[in-house]
Amino acid sequence: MSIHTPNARDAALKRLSRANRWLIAGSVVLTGALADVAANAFAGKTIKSNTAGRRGAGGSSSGSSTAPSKPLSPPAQAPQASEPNPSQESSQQAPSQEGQAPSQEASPPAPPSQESSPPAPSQEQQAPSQEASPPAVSGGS
Amino acid sequence: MRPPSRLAGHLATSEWEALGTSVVLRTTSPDGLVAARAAVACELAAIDETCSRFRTDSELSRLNARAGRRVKVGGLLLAALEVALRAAELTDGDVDPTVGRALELAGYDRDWRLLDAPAGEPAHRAAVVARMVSGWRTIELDRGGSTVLFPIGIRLDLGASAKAWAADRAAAAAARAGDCGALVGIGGDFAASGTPPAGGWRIHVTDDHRSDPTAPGQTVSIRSGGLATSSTAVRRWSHDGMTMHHIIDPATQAPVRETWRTVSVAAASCADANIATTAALVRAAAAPAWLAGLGLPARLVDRQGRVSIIGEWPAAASAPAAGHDRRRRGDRLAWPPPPGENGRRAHAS
Repeated sequence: MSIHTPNARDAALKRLSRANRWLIAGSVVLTGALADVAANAFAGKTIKSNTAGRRGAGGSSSGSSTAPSKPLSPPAQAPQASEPNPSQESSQQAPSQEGQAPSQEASPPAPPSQESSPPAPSQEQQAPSQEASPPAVSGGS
Repeated sequence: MRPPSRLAGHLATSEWEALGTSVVLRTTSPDGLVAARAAVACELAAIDETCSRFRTDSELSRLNARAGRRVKVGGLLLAALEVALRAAELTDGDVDPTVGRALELAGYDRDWRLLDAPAGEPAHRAAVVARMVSGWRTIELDRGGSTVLFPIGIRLDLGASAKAWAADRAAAAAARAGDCGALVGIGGDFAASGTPPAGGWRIHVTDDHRSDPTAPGQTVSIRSGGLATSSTAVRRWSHDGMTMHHIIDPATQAPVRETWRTVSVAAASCADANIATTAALVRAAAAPAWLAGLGLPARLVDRQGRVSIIGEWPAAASAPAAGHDRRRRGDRLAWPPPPGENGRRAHAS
């Protein structure tokens, strides 16, 4: 059986105390690191004030600004009704609901009345008419 | 197959494929077409290199691969992210760029033309894994430092906003380069810039942008700004025996329920119009009142093909048939409809 001297006991206590301090410091650092990882990994994180994500409704897209974003704006001029095909309308006696097969009876586009008499060249240059061209098609993609 | 470039009437037209969809360019001056097309192609190439989710070498893909770390990004991606965050903010998150993971879980992890044909029942189930880590408010965008930080697990998708934003940029670039009026359509979303032709730019709205101009729908003309159409009737595929489509409801992380089949909106820009159409599909029955409150002219088609017209959207040029567009020609109705229009009120509630 070994005999412990007071010096040996004091030295062992000091080592134990030092180890405790390192353990506490290590656990604090580890907790902080894990918290940081978790904060970035999951939703619900508090966002810094100079970031776009915290702007809230009407906030700015500028990272350092809190000015509200420009709301969705209507067009300067509302869209106007336009004939899809001048001769087509007369052949569609009873248009059905959308989604059914389109009528195949549409005849080729008739030349618009404007074109029966040649327009002045200057007018044509400034504001070309597109009566003869088919409309572009907007739909889901 | 259409020729790559042609003159139609007095307008010059060019069509090609980019950003995984079709591009249409129209100019008021044939002389300006070549320069305008070059400008549009350059703009779209830059946006594709930056914002594509399907290109492993895109800046967005590199950003997604570094989730959880603050990443410095280029000016174009920063601007695209700002557009996406603005869309999320103005729609209370109904248009959310953090649904990339949900789209992947729904099977949309490559160009949709490579996906299986749609089959089975429409899917509306939530992808729980994605929901746990999604939300546009988790994105930190530091404009001053040009940095972005978002949580691990999120994958950004700019598909809901980048194409329409690209159309706005491309139309402006085309008008400058061609010194003429220009209309640019990307996947059926149109932006106009410069002086329009007499009578405006004629656009036929329908379910599918690849349809013929005689497809069921309505032809309107715009003089400026943008016109966008979103539809659940296209870009559909099959995944796990269910039919999916690309409009994701951020609240459920699943494809939206199809209250509306197709929504068209005219706005001051194509980006604004596209934000409104996408959000309208997500908002379902609440969409008409929301669009009317914003003063956006809109046309909504429900699953049965019934049409609702909001604000200053014009009545159909052809005489409406029963059950089609129930408004009398020339009427201007705000939403909600006045008492007595039971049919319109009923199907929107």
